[in-house]
Amino acid sequence: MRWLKTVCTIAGLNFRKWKSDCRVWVAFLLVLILIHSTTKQLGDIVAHTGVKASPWIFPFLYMPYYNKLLFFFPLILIFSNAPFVDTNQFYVLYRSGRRKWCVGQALYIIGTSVLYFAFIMLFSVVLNLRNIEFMKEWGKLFTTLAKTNMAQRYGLGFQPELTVLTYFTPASAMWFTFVHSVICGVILGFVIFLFNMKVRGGGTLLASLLLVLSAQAAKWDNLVKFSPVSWSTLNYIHLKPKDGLPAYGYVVAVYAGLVIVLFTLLLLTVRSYNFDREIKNE
Amino acid sequence: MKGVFATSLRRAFASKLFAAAVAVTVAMCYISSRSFLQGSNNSVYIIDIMIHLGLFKKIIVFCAAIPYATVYCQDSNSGYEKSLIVRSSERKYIWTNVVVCALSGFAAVFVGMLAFFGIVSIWMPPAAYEAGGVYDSLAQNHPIEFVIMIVAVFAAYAAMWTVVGLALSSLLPDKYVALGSPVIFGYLLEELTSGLPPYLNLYSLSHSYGVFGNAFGNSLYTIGVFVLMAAAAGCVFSVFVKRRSRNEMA
Repeated sequence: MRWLKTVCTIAGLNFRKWKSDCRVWVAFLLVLILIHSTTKQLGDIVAHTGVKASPWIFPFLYMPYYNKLLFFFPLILIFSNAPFVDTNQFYVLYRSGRRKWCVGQALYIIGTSVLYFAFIMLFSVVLNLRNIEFMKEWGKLFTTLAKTNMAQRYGLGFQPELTVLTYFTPASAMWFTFVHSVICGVILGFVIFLFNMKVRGGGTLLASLLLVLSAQAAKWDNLVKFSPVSWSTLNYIHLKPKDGLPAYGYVVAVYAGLVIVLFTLLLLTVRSYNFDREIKNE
Repeated sequence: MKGVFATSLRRAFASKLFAAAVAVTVAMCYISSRSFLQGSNNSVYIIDIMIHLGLFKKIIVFCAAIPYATVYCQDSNSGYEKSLIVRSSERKYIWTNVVVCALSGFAAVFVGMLAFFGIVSIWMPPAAYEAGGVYDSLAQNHPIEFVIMIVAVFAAYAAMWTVVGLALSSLLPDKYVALGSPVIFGYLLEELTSGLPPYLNLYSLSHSYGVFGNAFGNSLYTIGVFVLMAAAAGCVFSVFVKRRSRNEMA
């Protein structure tokens, strides 16, 4: 219990720094701009059709590869200072030990990822309150947008996918997109944490390359199997027969495997990590 | 002025960050226009379509800020600013940074986008294009000049926001403020001016939409507005840097 409390305190310490951290403020403002920019044409469509949208925008918000690239970028910005070492962290490390410190930082990455995507989910509704009607179903508007090219004609930044509307209920689509995105964010965070300990800035570069890979995978279906970022939305998971996309079991297995392997590597790497170097660079 | 200016130019243009900004611009051009590359055989069309993509604009503004917008935070946090001001003067230091910041932002976008245009032109040679509006005759008769003109306007837009980023970093010396504020304020001001007539509407101006009857006058007016806005941001930068160098601000 005491061990858990220490780990949570270490993670909480990083969250408390958010108040004065411009990087986090900038990242969340960028996300707000992205959400607004992607969904602002919804008002024109609602005004034209006279039908309000359902609040289930989140599963479709970053389905296009370009949106995915942009929506994950602020998260990389938040994690870019991993392994989150500053002069204060040296004292924390001295009192807690390397292993607890590492688990605390990993917990911070998980917490940040959850908060980040919860923020996107919440504000995709809040910023469109005028054009939304609360309902349990997908609603007429999303079905029309999925079946026609209306979204494209109005310049809407996202397009509902018919397969998702057919195979998922709104709640399940929201849940799966949220969970996949969080896991994907955690993987990116762990990659940044791990490789930034090896080469300064190396992890951030590698995570950015993973985003670029997801954009490239949108063009070459064969690459989707190797691009965990692509699976954060449901349009890159096998739903229809012969769509050539990875099966759900494969996605879950790779996500679980990656999280476990990266976490183990983090624990191993932190044992020999030179903190003095990081503090000197601060 | 010459010494400080030459040093700042070297700092901006002979740096890895400038090369990175150009490379990222080229990469983002490719990623943004990829869906149009398959259905077209004219590179002029690709550039024109790409410039009108809303999200592309935001990334490019960010790319423009990479080479030099963070310079004041670096100077201020390391204390290098004081040495420079002692060796030259406050005024020289401030306006050199404003000019070099604008130049580096402009060059990163201009060079990056033209490099992409050059690469795409190998497979899709530039041809006459129906742009519509005031640029139609230019795009029909001189497609390459048309591309240079719209890219120059777009680069000037990005450069202007880069100076705004520099100005805001003097208020809050943080590199993330310097990099993120051009995108944030660019978007906010565009939304605020969206209801205004075309000659004051930043969205229309950034897309080189017709304000005047001819292409040249239109571009000149648009770039003029951006230069004025950059100068206003430069004045804000000047006020805060002076206050900081005199220890009037924490």
